[in-house]
Amino acid sequence: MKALFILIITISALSQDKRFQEQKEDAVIDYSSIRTLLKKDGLGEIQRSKEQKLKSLISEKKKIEKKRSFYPSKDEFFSFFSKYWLSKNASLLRWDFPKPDYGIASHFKEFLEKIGLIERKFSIMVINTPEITHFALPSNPGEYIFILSLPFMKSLDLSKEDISLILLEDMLRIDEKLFEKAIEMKLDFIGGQIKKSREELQAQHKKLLKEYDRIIYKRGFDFGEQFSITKKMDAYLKPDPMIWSNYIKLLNKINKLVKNNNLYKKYNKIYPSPQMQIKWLSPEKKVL
Amino acid sequence: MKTLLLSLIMSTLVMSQTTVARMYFKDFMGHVHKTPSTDSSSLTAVQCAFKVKILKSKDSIDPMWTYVKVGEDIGFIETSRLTSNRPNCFQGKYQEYYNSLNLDLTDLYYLGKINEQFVSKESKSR
Repeated sequence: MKALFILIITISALSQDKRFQEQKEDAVIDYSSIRTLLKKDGLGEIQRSKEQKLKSLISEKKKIEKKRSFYPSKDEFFSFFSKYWLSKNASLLRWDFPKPDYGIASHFKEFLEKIGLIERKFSIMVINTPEITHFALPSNPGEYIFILSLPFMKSLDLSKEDISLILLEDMLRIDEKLFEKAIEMKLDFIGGQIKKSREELQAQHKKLLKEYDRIIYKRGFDFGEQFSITKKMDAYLKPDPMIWSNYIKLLNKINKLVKNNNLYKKYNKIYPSPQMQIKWLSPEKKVL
Repeated sequence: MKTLLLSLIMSTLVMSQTTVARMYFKDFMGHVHKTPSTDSSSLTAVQCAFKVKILKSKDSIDPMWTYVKVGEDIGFIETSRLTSNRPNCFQGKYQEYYNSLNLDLTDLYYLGKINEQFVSKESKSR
């Protein structure tokens, strides 16, 4: 009897416990109360903004990683490649030597401002060889890289104004994109995605370096290009007769030098020709 | 023994140089110079985003130059080539293109020298 009584009590206790457990579980499963609480606290909003931030960070990372396999953009390519060419030609051009500031850059800056050419960034490198007399290499838009031979400047005893006139000619050649037009290879890869193997890319660098060599050491500019540059110089300098006549004097000086000095016999091939330029600039004689 | 002692003294002196700040090299390539002049010999070449320790100099130096420690080398870098924020470098932006150039030590040396040999200006409205 006693045992039966204990059994009944145990069963009723167990059943009550089970009911209490079920009630407890129901209370746990009821998320709505938590949701309202989260809404009240603004935690959901914080979570959403964190997720959005994470998403944008991931997409930004993907963009950067994708860009890493791109060619430099048009705004960066030529400045880099021209400097790369200069580094590859350092021993030939002999530009790594101690030199004072000749004051060329400051004078050229003032000269450009005087003739109204503003916001032109330029870098001038003086080289210690007559192999290249002067040249402008392609760079970023609105920027110019000039190389200028010290032996050439000394041979002609050039004044700062003479040098500025030479640099202006070179600047106009860059403005006309004459260098880029002379490159005999497709340049549409610039800014695009790299789809070549490492070896193919290296072959492409070599080819472009050779194009630079060909244009700077051999091709130079043709008569048509020289004519258009000379006419542009005429237009820029005519408002100041003093500078204009200095330009004619400079061309005469160069003409004499290239005819008499063997070191500069290549000059006429690169910049044809000072003699023709003087002719193009001379006022036409009227036939009566 | 004498040389050992001398080198010990030297290294203690070097160790005692106080670092006042840390900056980054911001140009594509460059050099740490022995003296504050681009004509002085190069101690080591540095690349863009390279961390540079700025040292306190006992002597007054030209503000155009900063006294620095790069790795084990102590020398001078042109102040205009340093920045306190990590720069966005060509090398990092175009990693695959840059790696394909396969630059050797000579290339790195000359690429570092190029910007030092340029005289740069910009024309402005009067």
